[in-house]
Parts: sequence; structure tokens; C-alpha cells
Amino acid sequence: MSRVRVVALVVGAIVVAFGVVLALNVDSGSPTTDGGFVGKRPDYSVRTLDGDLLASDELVGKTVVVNFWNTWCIPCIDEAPALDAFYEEHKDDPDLVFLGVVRDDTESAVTAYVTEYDVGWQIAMDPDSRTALSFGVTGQPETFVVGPDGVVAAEQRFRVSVEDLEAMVQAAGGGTS
Amino acid sequence: MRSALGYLAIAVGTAGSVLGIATLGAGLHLRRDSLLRAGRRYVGVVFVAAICAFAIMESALFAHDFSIKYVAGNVARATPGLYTFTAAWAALEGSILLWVLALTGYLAVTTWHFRARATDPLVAWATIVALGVTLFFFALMLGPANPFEELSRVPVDGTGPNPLLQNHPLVAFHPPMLYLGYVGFTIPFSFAVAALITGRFGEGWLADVRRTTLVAWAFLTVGIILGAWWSYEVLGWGGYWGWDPVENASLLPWLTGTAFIHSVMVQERRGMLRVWNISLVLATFCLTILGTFLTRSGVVESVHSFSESSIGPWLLAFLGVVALGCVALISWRADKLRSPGRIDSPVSREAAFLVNNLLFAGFALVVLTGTVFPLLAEAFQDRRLTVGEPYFERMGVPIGIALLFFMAVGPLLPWRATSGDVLRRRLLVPAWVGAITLVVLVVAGADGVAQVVAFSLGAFALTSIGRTVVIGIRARRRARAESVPVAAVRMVRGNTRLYGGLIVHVGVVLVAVALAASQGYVVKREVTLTEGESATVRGYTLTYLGTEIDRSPQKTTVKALVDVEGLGEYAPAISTFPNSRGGIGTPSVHTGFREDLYLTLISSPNETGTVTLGVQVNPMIVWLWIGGGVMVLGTIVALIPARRRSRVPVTSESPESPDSELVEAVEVAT
Repeated sequence: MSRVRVVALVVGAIVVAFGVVLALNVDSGSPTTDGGFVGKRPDYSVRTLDGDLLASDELVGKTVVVNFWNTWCIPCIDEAPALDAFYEEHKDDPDLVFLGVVRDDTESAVTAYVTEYDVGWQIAMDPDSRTALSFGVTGQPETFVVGPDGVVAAEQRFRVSVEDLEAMVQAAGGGTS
Repeated sequence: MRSALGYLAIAVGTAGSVLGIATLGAGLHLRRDSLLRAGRRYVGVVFVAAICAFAIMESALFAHDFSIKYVAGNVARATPGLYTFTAAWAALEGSILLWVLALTGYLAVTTWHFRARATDPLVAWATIVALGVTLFFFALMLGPANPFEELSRVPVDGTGPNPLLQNHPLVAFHPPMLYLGYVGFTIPFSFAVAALITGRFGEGWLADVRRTTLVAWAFLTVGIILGAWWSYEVLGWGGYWGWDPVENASLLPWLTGTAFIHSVMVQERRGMLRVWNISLVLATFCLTILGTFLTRSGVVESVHSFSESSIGPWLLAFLGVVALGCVALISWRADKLRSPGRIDSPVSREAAFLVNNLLFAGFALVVLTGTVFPLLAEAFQDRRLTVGEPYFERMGVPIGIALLFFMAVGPLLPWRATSGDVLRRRLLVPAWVGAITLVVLVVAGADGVAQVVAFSLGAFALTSIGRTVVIGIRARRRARAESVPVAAVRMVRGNTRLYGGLIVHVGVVLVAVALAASQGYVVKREVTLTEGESATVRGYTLTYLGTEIDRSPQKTTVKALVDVEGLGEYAPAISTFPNSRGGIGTPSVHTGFREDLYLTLISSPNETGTVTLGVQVNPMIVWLWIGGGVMVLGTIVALIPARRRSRVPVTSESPESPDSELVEAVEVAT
């Protein structure tokens, strides 16, 4: 075998090995039940667009899905169908609360959006970012599931799918309808 | 409507690529010239489709058509016009669109250039390969990176570009230049593959792609320098190069491309290094794809991760196919690729080129290793780590210095072999100038071994370039009665490649000196001042005058007004954008030929009215940009067709035996 061929073979082998390593690194972005804000106890209190007050203390005993979003965030629009489907499935579950918290947006834009797309779950503004801070939010969309004990059981710092949401709720030990 | 039209344009481009490949393939297979001529027309179709798609995207951006996801994600109503225009490449899908526009543009120009050789199998194969690459990128837009994807819910306003991409006009130039560089290497790649397929890997294909390679290289150089400038003017950390994986991704093809530009001369002249040259061209293209993958797949931590997306696996698969295909082709043609010539002497131009090439390749390997090492570590040890500046500097500085040395010596060496006597005569003056510079610097107490060596080698290189030019002019004047300027211009016109190259080398010396000085002698301070208070940093007296706040729908900017004694008022600032949490700093820079004063606002005024300013004195930074400009100027000169090969007559006017200078002038110029 000529020298060029031997070198070519070696280079080919390196390319393949390198490709495998790169392929292993391509991130899938699934939710986590470890690290991040999981295990911490957020302390929050928000007023929803309907005027109800929701506070962490009063929600103990229920599983709370908290989704941070806004109207100009494209990944939020992308995940909206998943949220709709999940909400539709669980809206009659008395032990599950679904709360959307709006970051960096105007109330008028949010109200228009909620009306137009018929958002059924609770939506609250977060004008001073207190709620976002209490969850250690870094962007949107981000979704957290707080267990009945008031502790974050799972989080997803990107778009969620229905499967992600089901798995997260499962991890919190609730919502098995 | 726009979404459908845009998608249609992409579909037409995809179909055009497929039909072009099929027609040319059939023409080659059936040996029918009419099909080969028909096939190249699809290049026009593909180019027009790309222009249409890009134009539709721009119109959607300006019309705030938020039903298109890309538009909603990258402009807001408050985004100024310039950044609305540049939003076309502010994220992945649009970047691919721009990429395809550049690629089809190159392909159209190349096809037009070779119109008389449309039936040449080499040209036909090269067109097929380039159309194959075009097809891949069109297909990406047809599938996972569709720039015209519609949103199910139309937002009232868009997100706006990433704050970093709407804070400085350089964003209008840096990415397109870089893409023109990256994409341009597709043409030499296509010809190299065509040469391997047709078995015509003599020197013909090299001459065919020489100019495109230089154009691509020049754009890549400009893109990298503008990137450094942008980093310096926008990011506000006081530096211009952070060995960020994505910066490295642009440096990698530049290094192999630079190596190729040099080694190609050895093949043209001596027929050697055939495998090496083909490998360099193929590797350069693969590295551009690797760079795109690293930028866009989110596998590495980077400041450039503007848009991570799902196209990572696609790019990786494409890279795999291309890389393995290249290896297989070379392996298939291994026996025929053997070069006829061999290096006669270690002290010859070709030997210097070979060393220069090994250094460039070594540098590329160092950068590649440093860039992908975190991935390897994560794969095998499951821990995240980054490879920082110390690694790259420890490895890169010695290689850079060696390259500087060979750059100074190489052009002085004759081809094939030389005698010690010739060498001594040619190196004497430059070596003395270099040595004197070294002594003066050491006596003057200059710090830093790398800096002192770089400055001395810079002086050495500049003198050797100057000497070559002086000897050339003198030889011309001896042969013809010309004034110095006329002789100089005609000399350059007669051999644009040589003198263009030497001008590029002057630019490299300027860049090297600027790099050494700015890295070695930077002064960094932080000062906290109350209104009216002053501080002095390295001779600059700064007085904090107060704060100014500018509010616009696009951003809110807090400026600290600082009077610098003798220089005037400066205003480092921090801007906040509605779509982003953190503040984006905008440095305020006084640029001088000797040094820059670089001011940043580290913290806005607090309750007590004090601000913290970053004050940095960066020596010789401006020479980095000037050097980059000189490099581009040199490349442009090298691209001008030489009027006529300059043969200095050694006959009538000088009947006696030609003296050494004339011999050298002829030798260097050929």
C-alpha cells in the first residue's frame, strides 16, 4: 500500500472518530430533575389578570406548573400548542395549578394575546421580575414544576413538549389523570 | 404570501441544483457537449432563485411581516433601518440564505469565466461539485432551517436582533465578508475534487482557481480583522481576540488557505507537493463546514451562539460525507498523485515554503485541538472545561515567530539551491537591521522576550522586503531610462503576484508588531470617581463630568461623560435593550498611532453618584487595522493580471557579465 493511502486511511479513521465525538455532543435539551433550581423552594406571590392572588404558601399541597413566557418570544409561541394540549388534558385536575408568568412585556399585548388565542390557564404579569428572580429564571420560555411540598421537582430551561410536561409532573409526584 | 414566495424561490433553487447536476452528469456520461452546455444554464437559475429569496427576506424584514418566524424573531418595530437590513443574517436561517446567495454568486461568476470551456470535463465536474454544495444548503432551507417558516400565532411586535447585533454598524460588514471568504473556498474545493475525479491533477486546475482562492482568502482576512475590530469596539472587554471557538473556526480555514497560497507556487514552479496542495484545498473547505457546525450547533460554549438550532446533525453528516469522500478520492488517486520533482536543497525557496506550510498546518492543528478538546474531554471524562488563552498563546506565539522569520527569509531564497555566498549577501543588511533593533530594544529595557523577538524580526522582514524592492527598481533603471516612481509602478505591474505578495507581507509585519505590542504592553486600571473628580492613568488625566441618559424605543443608554485632558470629551456607555436582561457596554476609544485610550463604563452611577470606569491603554492597536488594510491592498495588487512578465534585459545595456544584483532581481522576480 502506498504511503499516501496509509495516511489517507489514518485520516479517514480520525475523521470518523471525531465525527462520533461531535455527534455525541449535539445537545438534545431535555428537562432536568437535577441541578439548576431543582430542590429549592421558591417564594412568590402574583396577581393574575383575573385579579386572583396566587402565593406559594397557599399552593402547598398542589402541584404547580409555572411557565415563564411573553408575546414576543418566538420559542414561547412554538411551545404554545404543547401547553394548550397539556392544559386541555389536566384542566379538571383539582390538584394541579397551571400558571403562566409574563416577563418583559406589556399588559395590553398580553391581554390581547390571551383573548385572541383563548388561553385558559392563569396568567400573571411579573413587572418587577420578583417571581422570575425567585425561580432563578434566565430567559424565556422556562418551565418549572413545583411539587406539593413547595419544592421545585423539575425544570426545563427551553421549550417544553407535552411529554416533557408529563414527565416533569410525574417527577413531582402528581397529576396522573 | 411572502412566506410562500420565499419558499418557492428556495424550492426553485433546490430543483435547479438537482437538474443542473443531473444534466451535467448525463452530459459527462454520454459525452454529449450539448448537455454540458445546457447544464451550466442551471447555475443562472440557481443564482436568480437565491437573489429572489434574499430580496423577499429583506422585504419581509422591512415590512415587519411577523407572520414569518424569522422576521418576528429578529426585528422589532423599534429596530433601526440598518439593523433591520442586517437582521437578514442575524440568525441561523438568514445566515444560510446569505451563504447560498454568496455561493451561487461565486458559482455564477466562475461559470461565466469558464464559458468558453463549458464542455471541458474538469469544468463540468467542478460545476457539479459546487452545485452539490449549493443543493445541500438549499435543502437545509427547504427542511430544518427554513427562513420563511410561518408562525402559528402572529405577534404584535418582534423580538428584535440580539443586542450585540444592533449596537455597531460593523455588523453590516463583518459577517458578509466572512461568508464571502468561507464560501469562496467552495470553488477551489470543487476544482480540486474535479481534478481528482478526472485525473487531471497537473498544474492546470491550480491556475484555474488561483484568483478565486486569493479573493476568498482576502475576504476571509477582512472578515477576521473586522471581527476583531467589532469585538474591540462593541464587546468592551478591551481586547480583539479571545480564542473563542467561533473565532478559531474562522482562523482555521485562514491558516490552511494561507498555507495553500504559498505551497501552490511550489507546485506551479516545480510540480511538487501535489497531494499536499489538494489536501490543503479539501481541508480548507472541510474546516469552513466544521466552523459552521461549531457556530450553529451549540456544541461549544461561545459568545457567538446567537442561534443554536437543530441543523447540527445535518451539518455534521455533510461534513462527514465530504471529509470521507475527500480521503477516499485521494486514496483512489494515490498512485497518480506522486509528484515528479523533489527538493534539491534545504536552503531553497521551495524548502522555505515547505517549512512555512508545516508551520501553518501545525498552527491549524494547535487551534483545532484547543477548540475541540473540550468536546473530547466531555465525551471521555464527562466534565465541562474550556481551553483558554494561555494554551493558545504558549503554542501559537513560537509558531507565529517562526512564521515571521520564514516570511522574511523565504522570498530572498532562490529556487532549487543556493550558495552560502549568495545567502550571505542577501541576508546581510536585513539581518544587521534586525540585530541592531534587538540590541536597541534590549538596551532600552524593553520587556517581554516574545515582543522583542517579534519587533526585531519585523524589522528584519521589512528590510528584506525593502531591499528586494530597491534592487528591482535599480535593475530596471539600469536597463531602461526610467524615473524611480515610473520604474516602481512598472516593476509592480510586471509582476503583480510577487509585489502584491510582498505588500501583504508588509501588512503581516504591521499586524504582528501590533499584536506583540498590544498583548505585551497593555495597561489596565479601574477608577471610581464622583462627579468632578479626576484620576490619572499613564499620563492621561480623566475627569468625570456627569451622566447622560438617552432613551429610544430600541434601547436605553446611560453615558458617563469623561473629559480627557488635551483630548476632549469621551462617553463610555451601557445600553439596555427591551429583549435582553444584561446591559451591553459600549466603549469610548481615543485612537492614536502610538496607543489607544480605551474607556468603558463598568458600573453606572449609584446613589452616591460615583461611577466605575475601566481605563485601558492599548499600544499600537491601530496598526492591526492598518496592517489588515495593507494585506487586502496587497491581495488586490496580486489579483491584477501582470502586464507582461518582467524580464530585465541583461544584454545590450550591460554587455559585461551580469552583476549579482541583476541576477537577484531576475531570480526573485521569477
